[in-house]
Amino acid sequence: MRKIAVMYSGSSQHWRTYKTSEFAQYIDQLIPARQLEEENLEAFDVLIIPSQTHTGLLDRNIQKIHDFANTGKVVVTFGPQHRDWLPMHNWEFRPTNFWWWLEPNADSGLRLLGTAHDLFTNYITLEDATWHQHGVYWPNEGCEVLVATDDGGAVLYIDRVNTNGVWVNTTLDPDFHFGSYFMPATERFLRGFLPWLKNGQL
Amino acid sequence: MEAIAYVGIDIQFTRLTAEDRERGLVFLYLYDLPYADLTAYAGVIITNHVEEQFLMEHKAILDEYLLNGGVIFSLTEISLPWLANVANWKRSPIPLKDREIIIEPSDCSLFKGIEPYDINYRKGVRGFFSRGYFEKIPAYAEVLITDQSGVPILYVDRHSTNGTIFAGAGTDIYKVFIHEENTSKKLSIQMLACIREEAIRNYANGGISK
Repeated sequence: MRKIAVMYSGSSQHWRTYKTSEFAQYIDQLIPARQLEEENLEAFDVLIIPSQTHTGLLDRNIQKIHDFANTGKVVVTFGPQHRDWLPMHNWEFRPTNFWWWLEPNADSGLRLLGTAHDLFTNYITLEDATWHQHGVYWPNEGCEVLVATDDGGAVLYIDRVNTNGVWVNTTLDPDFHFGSYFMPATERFLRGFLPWLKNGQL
Repeated sequence: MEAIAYVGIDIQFTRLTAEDRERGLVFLYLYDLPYADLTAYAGVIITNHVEEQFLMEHKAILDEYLLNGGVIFSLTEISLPWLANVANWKRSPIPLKDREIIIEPSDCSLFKGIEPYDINYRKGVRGFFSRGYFEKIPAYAEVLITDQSGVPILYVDRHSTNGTIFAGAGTDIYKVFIHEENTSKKLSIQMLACIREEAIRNYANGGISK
């Protein structure tokens, strides 16, 4: 069972998702973003960087997060990052279509590539990972793309090759939207994703 | 035109545009709050993108500002008591698709000329205006927005302090309708106008905030 820490911004959305909802049970420690620089991360296996994390405080901790990964640990990033700080991720911004599901024969544009991966065989479905997208990553060779757009851009991928650790990066922002109570699929996503992160096969 | 501070952490959703700045909005980085002279502003908008624990630690700054007749428009779905007499935000039990946002009759110009439909729906979808409410409000507060169950969603409180507190249990009503092509588009401009009107009124009543 992995010990999970969260870089905690203390906004209302993060308060609900990480501190007061059913998902708090999966979190071993909330590390206030203001204190992350001084925090010893040795005890943790996983560090989550939530979506809509304060960029100024993130900037001050980028090296620390990379150092954490390089000790063989797991870093999870949710949502568009607004900074080019993930290893070899090659972010591409795309305008968000919040309304695709209202269109006739609606197609989210998402495709499941990781059909045999533990996350999708035992924890969530593609539908649980489907609300809207903010852009895609184009990670380098060796990264495992689990969910992609129909043109191949990565929406959820695992990077075991660019550092000594494991990065689970997704442009999806389930924690922000669950905490905003506005996207029902995000609840299903977190109900599977967090138990997987705790106990599943990465 | 007096400036209005827009308080938040630095994320995508809080960044101001050239149009916002032309309207007099100034981004006030949350963690600069202890170093800011709030009386230099006509009012302070506190977004839903703030670290509430930090605001708790600096509640005295907001209290003093209100004591001096300041105007605070809170957009925070509040869960800590950092703003005078503003109760915790509660999630509405009414499904978003069924929830009706109601504009209450008022002399306040915030929602003047805005069609209820236009703040209830964006492209046919409900839920943008608010997903919650306040369980209680201060005595003498004027409720501006409710839902069909009658719970308060947005109110103005001119009595708890020497200043004015607008408290909204909703999303960022400055930004969310700003590019709509209907009456809701006016909400952002009217919000700033309301803040400035309150500042003038409070100043006339002896406040030192502008």
